[in-house]
Amino acid sequence: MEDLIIFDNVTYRYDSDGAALKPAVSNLSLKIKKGEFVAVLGHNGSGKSTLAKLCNAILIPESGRVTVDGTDTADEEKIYDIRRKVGMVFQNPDNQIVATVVEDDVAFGPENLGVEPTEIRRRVDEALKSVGMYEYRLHEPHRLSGGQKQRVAIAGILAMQTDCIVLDEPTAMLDPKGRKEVMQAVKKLNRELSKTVVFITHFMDEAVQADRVIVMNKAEKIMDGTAKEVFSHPERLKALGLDVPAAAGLSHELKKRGIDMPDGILDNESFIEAFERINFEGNNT
Amino acid sequence: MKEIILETRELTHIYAKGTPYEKTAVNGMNIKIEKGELVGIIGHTGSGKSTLVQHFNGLLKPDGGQIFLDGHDMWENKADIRKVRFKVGVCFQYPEYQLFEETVYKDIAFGPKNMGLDKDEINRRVIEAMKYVGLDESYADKSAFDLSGGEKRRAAIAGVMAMSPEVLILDEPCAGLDPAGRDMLLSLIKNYRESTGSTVIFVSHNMDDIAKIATRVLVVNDGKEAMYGTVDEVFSRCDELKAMGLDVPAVTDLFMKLKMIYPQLDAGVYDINKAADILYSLLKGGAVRA
Repeated sequence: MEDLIIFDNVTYRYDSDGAALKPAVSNLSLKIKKGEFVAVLGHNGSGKSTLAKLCNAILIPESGRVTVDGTDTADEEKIYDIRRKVGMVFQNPDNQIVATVVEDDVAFGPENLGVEPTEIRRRVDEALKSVGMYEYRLHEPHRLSGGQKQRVAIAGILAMQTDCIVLDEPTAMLDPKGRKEVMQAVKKLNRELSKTVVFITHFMDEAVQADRVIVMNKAEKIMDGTAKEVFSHPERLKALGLDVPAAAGLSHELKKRGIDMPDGILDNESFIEAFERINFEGNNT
Repeated sequence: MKEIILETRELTHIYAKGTPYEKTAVNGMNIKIEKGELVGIIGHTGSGKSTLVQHFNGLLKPDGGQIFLDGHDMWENKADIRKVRFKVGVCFQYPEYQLFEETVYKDIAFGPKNMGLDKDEINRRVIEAMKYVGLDESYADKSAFDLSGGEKRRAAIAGVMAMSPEVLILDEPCAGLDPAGRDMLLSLIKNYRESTGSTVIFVSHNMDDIAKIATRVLVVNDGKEAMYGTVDEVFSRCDELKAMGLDVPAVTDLFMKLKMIYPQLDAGVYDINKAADILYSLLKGGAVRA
């Protein structure tokens, strides 16, 4: 598959009155393919959010290069092309609502792009249907739940027909139901609409649903692989201030006690299946 | 029976009363919180838990019913409400955005200063509060801008602890923290409650956090108290919780599913190590299926 976003030896440092700060992202090289669902994990201050903001020219590398579909994000004239390709959803749903009616909020993006009114209508309806918020199109956004607000924010990005959505801890402020709703919407737009997704989170049970997991630590990428690969190192992740999903952690603890649990257990279903098999074999030897 | 520190009787709160947007956020709530408990409050967005918490320190006035602190009706004498706010300290979500002083020390000292305490007492309180949140004295003269996100959060919480409230309320203290930061803050909160003996109430969307440190769990749904009990009592009602848009801790959820196959299992498990021990002995004992 073709690469959509390429980080080539990127370093970024926040400016603090000229004081020499440590880089937030240091010598990062990374390729995100079209249609990929990538989760990014890392402790607070590891550089995750900086990585996210470098994806669509909110931040420009101090050295190195970020390209989106071949376009350098440092090219100021192309900034709108880049943001048309890569959209962002942030942590706090209340900070990204601009209108007083849900459908107006979703229409804000395409309106600014100068899209025809009939086309805007079509896109807004389609986007709201994709995230399961169509029936709320005439509601006031500030009266929605957190999960609903985040889905409206995602619809706003979809209506701009971006290829890629970057979500920076979109579920951090949500209740369990809201988290599930957002996760479902994100998975749907990746699997059914083939959108590229970069998903930053502190929740391991969300990260396991991605095709690929990247772990950041002290401004550097230190792990990069499938969820199964990354979560098979619980001790290493713990040392990095992270965790593993409950099923993976439990499976690892049983292994330490001498039980022959297979590798790559990430969810309850596969845990129970493996546990059942071991118990069955144990009872028959 | 232990002393009751906070009690609501038919507490009701209505937003935008008399307008078309009228909404009853708290609807005749009756709860009693005992002194020294570490109460975890859960409830989906809009369940009324934040409204309830704002009643706990008199930021909102009941539209119906009463609220008692230490046996006294908070609103009996309106002039006394300031005292309530010194007794019940609230730390809101993302409190690090509220740091404003030049140094960590000054920020933490702001509350005790407003209480009119003398300099030595303020100093003692600030140092003690910093200890509770795991910031050593080298942080005292630092600017809040030089702290990491997790450190800022802890400095902000220390600012409320320094007022030595009888009841400390924390709204989503761990939101946005990484797993290690989350674990650290939880153990600091637990330790604070154990060493001061004060009542601590914390609101969270994370069931694992609640199970880790709470002594009692209050479930708020539709503006009413849906459940109030121990961690075991509340999380054993998994289906009801899920119907309210809530959940049970991740390990508990796995154990509930295993219990359908091995009914002898006790699903009240919240810790991975303990869970592994139980499953290990289950296997070694020749686990029997239902």
